[in-house]
Amino acid sequence: MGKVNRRLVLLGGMAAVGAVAVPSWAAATAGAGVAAIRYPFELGVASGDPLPDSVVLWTRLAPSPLNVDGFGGMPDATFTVSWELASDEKFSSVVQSGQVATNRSLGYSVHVEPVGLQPGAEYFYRFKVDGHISPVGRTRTAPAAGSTPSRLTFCMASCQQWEDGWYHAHRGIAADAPDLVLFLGDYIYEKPSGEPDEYRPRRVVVTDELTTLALYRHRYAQYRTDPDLQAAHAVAPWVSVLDDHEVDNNWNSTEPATTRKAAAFQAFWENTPLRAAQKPSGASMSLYRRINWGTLARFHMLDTRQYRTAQLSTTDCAQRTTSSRTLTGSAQEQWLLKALETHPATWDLLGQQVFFAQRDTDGKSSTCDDTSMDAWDGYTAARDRIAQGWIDRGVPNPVVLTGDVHQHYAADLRRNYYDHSGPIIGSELITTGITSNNGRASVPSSTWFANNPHIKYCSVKRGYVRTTLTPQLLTADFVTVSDVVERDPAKVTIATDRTYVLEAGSRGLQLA
Amino acid sequence: MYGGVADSQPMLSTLFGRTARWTVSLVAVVATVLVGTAIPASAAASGTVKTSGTALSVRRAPSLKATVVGSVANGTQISIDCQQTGSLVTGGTYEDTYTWDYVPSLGGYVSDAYIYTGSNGRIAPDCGVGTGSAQCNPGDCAAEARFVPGDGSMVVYDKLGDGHSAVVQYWLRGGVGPLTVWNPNGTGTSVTQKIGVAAGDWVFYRVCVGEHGTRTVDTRSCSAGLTDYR
Repeated sequence: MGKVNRRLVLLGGMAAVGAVAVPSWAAATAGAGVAAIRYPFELGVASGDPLPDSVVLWTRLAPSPLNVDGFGGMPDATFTVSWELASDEKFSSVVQSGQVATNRSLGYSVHVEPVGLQPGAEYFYRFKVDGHISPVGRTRTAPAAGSTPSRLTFCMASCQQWEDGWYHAHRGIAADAPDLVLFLGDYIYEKPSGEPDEYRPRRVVVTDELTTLALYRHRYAQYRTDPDLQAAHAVAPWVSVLDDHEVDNNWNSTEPATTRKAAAFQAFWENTPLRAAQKPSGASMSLYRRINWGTLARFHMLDTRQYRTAQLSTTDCAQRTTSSRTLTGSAQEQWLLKALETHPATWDLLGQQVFFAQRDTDGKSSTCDDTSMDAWDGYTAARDRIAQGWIDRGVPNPVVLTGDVHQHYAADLRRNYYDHSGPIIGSELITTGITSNNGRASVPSSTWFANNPHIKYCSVKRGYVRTTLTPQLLTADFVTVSDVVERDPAKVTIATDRTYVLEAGSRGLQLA
Repeated sequence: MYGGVADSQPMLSTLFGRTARWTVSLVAVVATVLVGTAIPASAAASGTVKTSGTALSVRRAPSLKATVVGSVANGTQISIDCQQTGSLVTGGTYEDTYTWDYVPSLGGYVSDAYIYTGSNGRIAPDCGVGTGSAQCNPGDCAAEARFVPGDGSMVVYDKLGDGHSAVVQYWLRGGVGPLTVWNPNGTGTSVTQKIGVAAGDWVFYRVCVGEHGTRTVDTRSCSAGLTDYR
């Protein structure tokens, strides 16, 4: 890890010690009486989904975060939580404040959507309830529509099985203090890790597979007790989508049961800084959405789980090209293609879950037991429609952003991956996991790379991707963590393993 | 005999002051009467021991299988710090109940079936209020554990000669856990160990049986777990 960021020290420190560190006006409530609840901000604060005039502020009250009833030790009552938004981290210039009620039906989560904020501005926020004051979070609004931001830095993260290691990668994200964090799924896992004991430095309380709202809530709370995760949330707004493990391994439109989906969706919404527009209704949730960053970038955040056709078996190769098979559902596909008809921003980023580029170990289309039928490789007609869609619409700079696979990859995209000299039509950045599976897999063989020459790079270590966009250049730093089983930060290095750049208006990732 | 909250419950909204900027309020009202009023975490309730005349057993943990650590005479007024779900007690003075009342001055738990509190419902918060608590594992209470908030120590008792060790698993603030306190010393022994919970911080703990030799905890044997505070 390079520079030491003063803000991280401040925010991380506050997250670690709670209300004790809050100065000045905190003294006004000290000694005012016996508190009805203990310090309830044990899960930190977060923000997300910035618009030019708004950003979601989040917290969840949980003085006893590991209680298995999922209520975090909160009495069964409605609590009114106060919030403040300021333009400085000392809150000498408060621009908005208000109150919001929460109770059991919301899992004691708090989502605030202030409006009328300045575009492209940095803000600080905090919450208060019963005299307890939360840590301070830093956030920002998106630039105004049509404005011309010169730079955007965002980090991509995914796959943070709590049992498989320590969140050093989140410590790195917090230190980077990016403008945005994209979380691309597998924020929690519905089951304990299958890793050997020596590669699981910590364990979840509940070892049964999650199926109920109470236990999904409990699981989010346990993950959120991690101070590095809290620091990464407190440093920047997050734009989050879920993948499979927030619900059930490799789920799709046909499974699991709607009662379980509804429970998982509700807990996901409660524990993620999402807008009310994303709040689920039973087993249905409007998760795909767009985040605009002036003329610089658009993030088309996709949901490749909720509407997808069931996965094929690896003996059903031929069916992959069936046009009715879909990962996005037709409404979402049309929503995306419609947006791609216009080009208000330099970079069109498709933030989504599963590997978009082809991965075919033997390079033969006749076999598919050597690829992932859960990824776009199992839905090739749908992939073709989207890829051809952006070609036909003249999308200037399409880049797919992906999680899921617990390995870093840098890939170029083709219409026909078996034609190794065919044109490159876009690129894909795949971020490794924060912890999942520790990073003990093997790098693919040279034969594999020869059969998949569009894939430039793979690292099996844990980490994240830090991307900087300018109107001229995309720069992607593939950051890796030396060891996630080791807890001591002094014995762990967080460093950029490889950097790729992509010039606006051209095709193909280049080594920096 | 549902009658709401005992008289000693303070009104929550009067507990907090106001500051110039923040308006502090707690709306202690819920949708249905049955749910009742929020119980502040720190407010002890009072009750009176009502038996047929005999003394009432005080147990280390909220179970009829837990070790008896003392007794309390009929008619004694007690201060109940918190209440905890444990084993079912039937045929008491009041309704059959799973609720046990934690009375720190007695060093343990008494069944709510023998305590006049003015309510068949909960009259004190769930245990884990910073004045101590205890659990035993399901079934025969082969293992018992007690958290002592004063010095942040865990006491692990092996109560049953079952060939297994008693063990506590606990998680702490900061995303750590489970840590363990083992008692491998056999039936009738206890092990006391400070567990590194900082003042004001929480600990979530549960008690289980396991094999000390291989440091294997039988997680299926564990108590449900609760959060307490130092």
